Amino acid sequence: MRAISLSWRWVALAAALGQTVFPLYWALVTSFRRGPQLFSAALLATPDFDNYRQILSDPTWWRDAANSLISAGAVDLIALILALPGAYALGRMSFRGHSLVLASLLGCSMLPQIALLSGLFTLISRLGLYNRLESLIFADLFFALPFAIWLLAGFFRDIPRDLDDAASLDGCGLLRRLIMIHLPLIWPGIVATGLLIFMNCWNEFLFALTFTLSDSARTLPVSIGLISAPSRFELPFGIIMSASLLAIVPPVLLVLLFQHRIAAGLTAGAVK
Amino acid sequence: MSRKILQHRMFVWQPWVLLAPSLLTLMALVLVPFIQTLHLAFSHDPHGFVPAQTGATLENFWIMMGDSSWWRSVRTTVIFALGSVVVETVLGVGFAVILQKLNTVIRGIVLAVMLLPWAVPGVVAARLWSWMLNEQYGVINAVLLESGLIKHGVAWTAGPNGMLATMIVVDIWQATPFMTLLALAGLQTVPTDALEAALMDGATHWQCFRYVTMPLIWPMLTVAALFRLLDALRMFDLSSVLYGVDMNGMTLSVFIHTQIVQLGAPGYGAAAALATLGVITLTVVLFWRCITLPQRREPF
Repeated sequence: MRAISLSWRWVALAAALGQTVFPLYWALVTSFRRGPQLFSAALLATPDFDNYRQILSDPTWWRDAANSLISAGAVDLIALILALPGAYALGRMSFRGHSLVLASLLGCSMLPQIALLSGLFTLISRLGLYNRLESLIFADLFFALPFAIWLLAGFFRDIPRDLDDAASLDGCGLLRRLIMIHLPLIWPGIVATGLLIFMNCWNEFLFALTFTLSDSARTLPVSIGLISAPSRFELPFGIIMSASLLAIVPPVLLVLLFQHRIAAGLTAGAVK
Repeated sequence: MSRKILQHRMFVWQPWVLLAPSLLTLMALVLVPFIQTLHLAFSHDPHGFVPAQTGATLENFWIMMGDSSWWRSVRTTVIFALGSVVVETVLGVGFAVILQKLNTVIRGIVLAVMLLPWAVPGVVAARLWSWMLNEQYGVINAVLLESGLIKHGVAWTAGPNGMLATMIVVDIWQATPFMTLLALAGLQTVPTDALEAALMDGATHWQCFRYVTMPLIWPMLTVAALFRLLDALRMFDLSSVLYGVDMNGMTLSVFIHTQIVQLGAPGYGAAAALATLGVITLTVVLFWRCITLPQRREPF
């Protein structure tokens, strides 16, 4: 009985891992193929990096990648800088309107991007940011900022109170408490928040597609989403798969390297 | 006593000064566009070269009531969201139960691998699956043909139902890791002595799970499912990349985006966006009632 349930468990685990990995594996196999080879269903392929060479020798790919990196990095930095003091106030101070602010932040993060699309579109055009990377950075803050405040406030709240009390008895002011005591303690929380924001922005499609359609400001998801061919059967699948795999290298590396931090951040985001 | 000292030291304006930068940014980002959306929803759209009429109107909402493609997007979105969230939650709990039994090192590795689909952009996920599901050259059809389960290639995304099912499958692939992670976090809060006590009293493993574990992880699970539902109801990238502007596989987000960007009808798009908020609220409220009701009825 025991042996049966044990082996059943391994089968389920193998199935779970299989369905997780297979689409990525198949993309890798396809990315090594060109021309008529593409239509082979053989599960193995000899590594052939021609598709990758073709993509990487194209300057537009490098520009798209740079746009993705710059916008995600900028959103991350701005969101964290703006959110830290606010999160500190929400996590460590009690004041009138505290729960109102928290509730409206939650409301903000529940608001779908699409609800703001036409309004943001007008606002961005009026600011003269349309088709520029700045517009995407501005728009992405809409989901990055409430998320950052919410998550960081939770991490601030978890720091034991006694620490503050002891420090303030010793004459340590607000700013010094923040820099000397709290920041070192919530450092892992800041890393988790930063990673999650970075991945969200890297993967973001709707705002990027709407506000930065021009070649010079395009990001990777948009360029992958827009690859098309005259007929749907002529899509260059080898190229699409190579481009897709190249685009997921940063988020996949982050997950593999910082799995614990990301898991902690995701859990905290939903539980706190 | 010490808390009193802290209170004395804190000025009323301090938290607001700290909050000001982020709140002001959010106001510019959320409030201004949202008011703009409200305004647009009640204004006329230009038709061709005829400039838009001025003045407030309910025209957009009237058109929407009779717009079959709008109602079809509502149906697609709601079925997609509910279908994928339910399956993801069930699978997530199942995987979490299995993962919990593993030792920490293996669990860490498995979890990292399982998180990969979650880290992949929706655009890429859509591309991977549409290639695998390709009617003529897709590997899924090839495998099924080889094993003799089907006689000729299935056109998975030919009809509206197939399109919907495909989106659900891709979403399950991407979002089950999230539910697994949260279910696992929930399982780790279940005290082992409660389970041991139940086993001592002769409960089967299933009874332990059903009457001890489930009630304990239920609150956390429902919140996670709620977050996931909100996310699924605003899904844009899968539908957009898989089907473009095909009415049959369009979600509400794609419908609105098409109206605003492709068809140049910002007013109608804004009205549809407001109505979408209504659809989302209604779905979430009904979902929440359904999942919290059994808990009230049964004395857990």
